[in-house]
Amino acid sequence: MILRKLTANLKTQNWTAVAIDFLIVVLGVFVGVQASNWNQARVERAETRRLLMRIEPEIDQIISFAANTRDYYATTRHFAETAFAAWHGDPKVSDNDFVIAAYQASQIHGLGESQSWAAVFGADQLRNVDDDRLRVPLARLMAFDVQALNSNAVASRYRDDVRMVIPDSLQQAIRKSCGDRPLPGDTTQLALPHRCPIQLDPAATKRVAADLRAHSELARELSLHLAGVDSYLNSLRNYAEEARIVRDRLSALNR
Amino acid sequence: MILRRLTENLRLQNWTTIAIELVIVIIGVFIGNSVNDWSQQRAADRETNELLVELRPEMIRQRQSMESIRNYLQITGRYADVAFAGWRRDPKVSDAQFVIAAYQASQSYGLSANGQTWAEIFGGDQLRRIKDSAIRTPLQRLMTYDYSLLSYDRLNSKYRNDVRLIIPNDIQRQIRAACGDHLILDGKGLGLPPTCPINIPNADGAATGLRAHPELVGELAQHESLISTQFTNVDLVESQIDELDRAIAHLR
Repeated sequence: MILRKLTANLKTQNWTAVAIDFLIVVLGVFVGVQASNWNQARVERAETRRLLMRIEPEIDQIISFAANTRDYYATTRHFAETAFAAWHGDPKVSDNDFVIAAYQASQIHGLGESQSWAAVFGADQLRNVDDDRLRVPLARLMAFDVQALNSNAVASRYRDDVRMVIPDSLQQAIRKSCGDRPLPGDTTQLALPHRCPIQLDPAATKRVAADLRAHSELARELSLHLAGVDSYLNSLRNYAEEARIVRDRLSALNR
Repeated sequence: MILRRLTENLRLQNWTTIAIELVIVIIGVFIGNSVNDWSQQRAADRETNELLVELRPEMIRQRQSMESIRNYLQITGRYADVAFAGWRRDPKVSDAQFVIAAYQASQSYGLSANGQTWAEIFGGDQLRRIKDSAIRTPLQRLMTYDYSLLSYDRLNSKYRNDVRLIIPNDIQRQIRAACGDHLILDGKGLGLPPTCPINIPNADGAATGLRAHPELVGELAQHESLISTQFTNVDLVESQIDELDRAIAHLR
């Protein structure tokens, strides 16, 4: 329609009308593009909000991982205390319990990720988060070095050395009855039984307990191992705390 | 005079028509852009679905890799049992069987690639488009998993190094030539023969050398505990592959 009018106006040399038609097209395209951009930005913000809702399960997973891992290491610490007591000559600790405790104290569990889940969320999305109280902790969570939370961080000399002293057959028996188990409902996480009430071969445990006592350096290595675990749990606490702040803010925004 | 003519001409224009035309152009441009965006979004969603379907061969390959790692390490575990019996001087284990088992127990296998394939095939931007959390969650875990935990370096233990310092080189070469790693899965994986019925002429000397190093028994126990950790890691990855496979089954 405009083109037909413009042609007619050009033929009749109605320059005012030509100028107005030209302005209509320029102004129309400009306003139309502006409206599209505004709409696009609105869609992107809505998409970011949707993505934020979608990361909630991952945030919950971090918090649950932290709680489960604290529980896991509380269990290994309990076994470590039994092992220390045996190394200190406590007669209440049987050879059977000593061997089991020395092994279980060396069990480790970590995150198993090479890059943060947040890398998948994307830094470009982060820029679309308007709320400072969400964006800042989310950025800290995204920048967290998750490799520091991998099981490598707690793989110690104690773990290697104690497994050289305890024979493979006993290690297998302990692992079979009391080793890592997938957490019910979450195959990505592991749990360790709080107690290990199995009876190993008495002759073997007597011999191995004597071997463990003969390697008194293992008690020092276990102290170092536990210090490493504490340090690991501190890092994990920081990570989980950031996750908790993000989750609380997301919940507040959802209400 | 020009101003007067301009004013006159402006007064002659049909401003209602002009306003309508302006609105038509604005709406036209807006709708045009929106249709273009919608079309691009649809194409991107279709591409994401196609990529998910194309992931299946990679999933099968990864599943086979996990199975081959498990099978391989189960075989080394059986050799380890024979080696332990050899160190215990079990009369059922000959010197040759002992030496072969001690060597084969030190064989290791794991992922040689860094496992970034998932992330390469499926970028983070594609992942964000997946609305179904049943697909997104396992895929995200596979994309962010630390595959170095499944690397064969993880089994490069003290036992592996020490036992190879003690068994003479000619015997090691003989075992490798007859019963070493062989390619499976069209060259995509490695296997190890479950038995190694070869004759080793001077096995008694090598067996005596091994028994003179009882510390290897402890080192082998520690090596086996590393293998047990590998089994746990393999199980974790497999569970995510299976979960993803079930979730994308309806897309095929």
